[in-house]
This record gives sequence, C-alpha cells and structure tokens, in this order.
Amino acid sequence: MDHILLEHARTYDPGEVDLEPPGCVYDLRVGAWVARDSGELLVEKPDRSRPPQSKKGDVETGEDQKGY
Amino acid sequence: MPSDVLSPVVIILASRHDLTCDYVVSSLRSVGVPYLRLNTEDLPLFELCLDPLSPSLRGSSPGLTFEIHTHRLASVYFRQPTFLREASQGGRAAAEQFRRAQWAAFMRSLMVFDDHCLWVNHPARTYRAEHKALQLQTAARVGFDVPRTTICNSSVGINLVIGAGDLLAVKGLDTVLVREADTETFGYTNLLRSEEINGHELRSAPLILQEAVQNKLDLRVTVVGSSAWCASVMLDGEPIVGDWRLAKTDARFAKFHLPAAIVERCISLVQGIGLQFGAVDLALSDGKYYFLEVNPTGEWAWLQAGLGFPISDAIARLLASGEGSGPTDDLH
Repeated sequence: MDHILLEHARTYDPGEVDLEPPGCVYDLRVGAWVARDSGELLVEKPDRSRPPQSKKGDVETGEDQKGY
Repeated sequence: MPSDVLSPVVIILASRHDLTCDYVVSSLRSVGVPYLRLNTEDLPLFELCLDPLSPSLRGSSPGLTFEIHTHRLASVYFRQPTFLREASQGGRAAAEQFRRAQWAAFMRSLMVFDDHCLWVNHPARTYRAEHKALQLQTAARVGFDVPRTTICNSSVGINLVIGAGDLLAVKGLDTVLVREADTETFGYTNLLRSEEINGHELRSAPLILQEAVQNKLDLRVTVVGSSAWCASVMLDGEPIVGDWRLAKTDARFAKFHLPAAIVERCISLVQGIGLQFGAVDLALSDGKYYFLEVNPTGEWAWLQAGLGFPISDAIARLLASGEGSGPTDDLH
C-alpha cells in the first residue's frame, strides 16, 4: 500500500516543455530575454499576450526547483 | 580595471528560464544599478576563478568579462534551490548529475561574500525557513493564529488536531515530488475526514496533520523588506475549498486590503525567520487570519503583471541599498 500522501498525489506526464519564449533570445550581457527583432526586454514588451512568470508556470513542481 | 570589465553592485543567481528575475533586471536597469546575472546553466560559458580569501570572483566569456569585489558589491539576489531534490533524478546521465551538483555548490560558495553584502535571501536562511515546523513556530510567536498541527507518522495524531468540522488538512512535511520512468507525481494539500485517514499507510514517512480552516478565503502576501502586498484568491467569485493551486489555471487574484496589524505581523514573521523576502499564505476565516506557510523563494511575477504590485521595483531598491530589514546577526 502506498503512503497516504502518494495515494492522493497527482501523477502526470511532465513531457518536454519548450521554455524558450517565442521570438526572443537570451542576452548574456543584459541578463534577460530580449526580443530578437527589437532588442527590447521581454518583460517590457507592451504587446505580450501572456505575462512571463517562471519556469514552473505550467506544471506545479514546488517553488524550490527554479534555480536549476 | 579596464572600463569594459563589469564590476557589479548587485548579482543575481538564477537560471535562464526563471523569468521572474527578468522583472528585477528591468527594475535595476531603470535605476542604473550595475548588475550581473549568473545562471547555473551559463556558468560553463565562462572561465571562472573564485578567490575565497579576498574574496573575489573573476569571469570571462567571449561577450562578457566581470570582476566581483567586496568593496563594490552591495547584494545578492539568490533564486537557487537549497535542497538538491532533483540532482540525481529523472534518469540523468552520471556526468550530468555530477555537473549539476558541482555547479550548484559553486553558486552556494558565493556565500564567501557574506560579510560584505545583503542576501535576498541568504541560502542558509532559506534552508532553515523552508521547514514548515519552524515556520509555524515563528508565526505563532509573532501573534498569528495557527491551525492545530501535528507532525507524525501515525493516526494517533488525528485526535490531537481534529476540529469541529471533522476535516483535516493532510500534507507533506517536504515537497511531495517523485519521478518514475516517464511520469511525475506531485502532492497537494488534501482535505480528508478522519475515517479516510485511518487504516491508510502512514508509518513509512512523516506527514503534517492540521486542523482544516473552514470557510476560508486564501490570501497571498508578498513581503519585501518592510513592504507587503496582499492578493485574495477566488474561483468563479467564490473562495476556494482546499488547495487553491489545484485551481490555479482558473483562479482569479484581486488586491486585498489587510489590516495594518496583519501587515506588520507578516513583516515580523518574514524578518523573524531571517528572510528579506517571503511569500506568505494566509487563510481568513471568521475574522481570523490563520498562517498556513511562507515560501522563501515564492513566485510573484504574476501578481505584478496582473495586479500592478511594484514588487520588482521594491526588490531592486532593496538590492541597490544593500541594507536589509529586521534583526541582524551573523547572517545578512
């Protein structure tokens, strides 16, 4: 018998998540994702349809996983 | 030092895909504070030398050369894990496990700059603050209502905490996250009746049994230094029964006005557990603000983007000042 916490936990296919914001490239010197065409910071783009949040935006894996 | 060598006042330790840090970068740029963002996966792009005695860190890549010196460094924004729950999981090759563990240790080794700068948050403090037992103890000490709680591996604990509603919150003492073959399993907080717990396997691992807070409104309070912002969490205009993360796709967040005394209590809690930043989860029920937990590395960008909370500006100001809030001791 599984432990009660495992019994009630949700199992899913984590799949392969494409973490690269579309149309953007990571700029090592700037330290942020920038638009490939304009060089504007992704988080400063006024036309973004979905605000970037974090790498765990779509699948909950705990907030301690973000650093790597 | 040549003018093309970056000497940062603030360093950000993160990963490329931690987009929350992009907001802090934006705020630091707007006030002209020299910063350097180092991502774990980017470290092999640099030739790096850390001198633990002076201390100093030099790095160079084809596009970026930097030198970190204590006389200039004000602060570190640390968005790294302090528990290595995943380093050897997921079927990674031995070389990859090795590489991850060693670079993670390199990041934590930047604690050699402790004596000279502010950490938001300090790794040792984050490590300590991630323990729910210590969180609950600190919350009670600063005056929060805390649900009756026991940490146990037996159904004997049920009678210690069960409330009038006969419902218990059953949750992991640590993040419940396991990977097996191609699947991943994550444990949320479960609301169960005592008869649903009795007879189940509990002995093999400890867990938290907690009096369920009934008819609650979930609140997320984001604390930065001595500032705080609060959002309520609802679904279809109604408070959410159970763990709101299960409904987070459809949940709606709204600004929520906390009484000044509760704001002060949240700030005291975060400072009391040794942090400069904390994401505090409260439950409002029958006029009482119950403490549920605090996350030292909690997310906040969706609240800034959706509700306009100026959290990245506050973090940038804190980092630029190098001056933290709260009690001081051997850690910053």
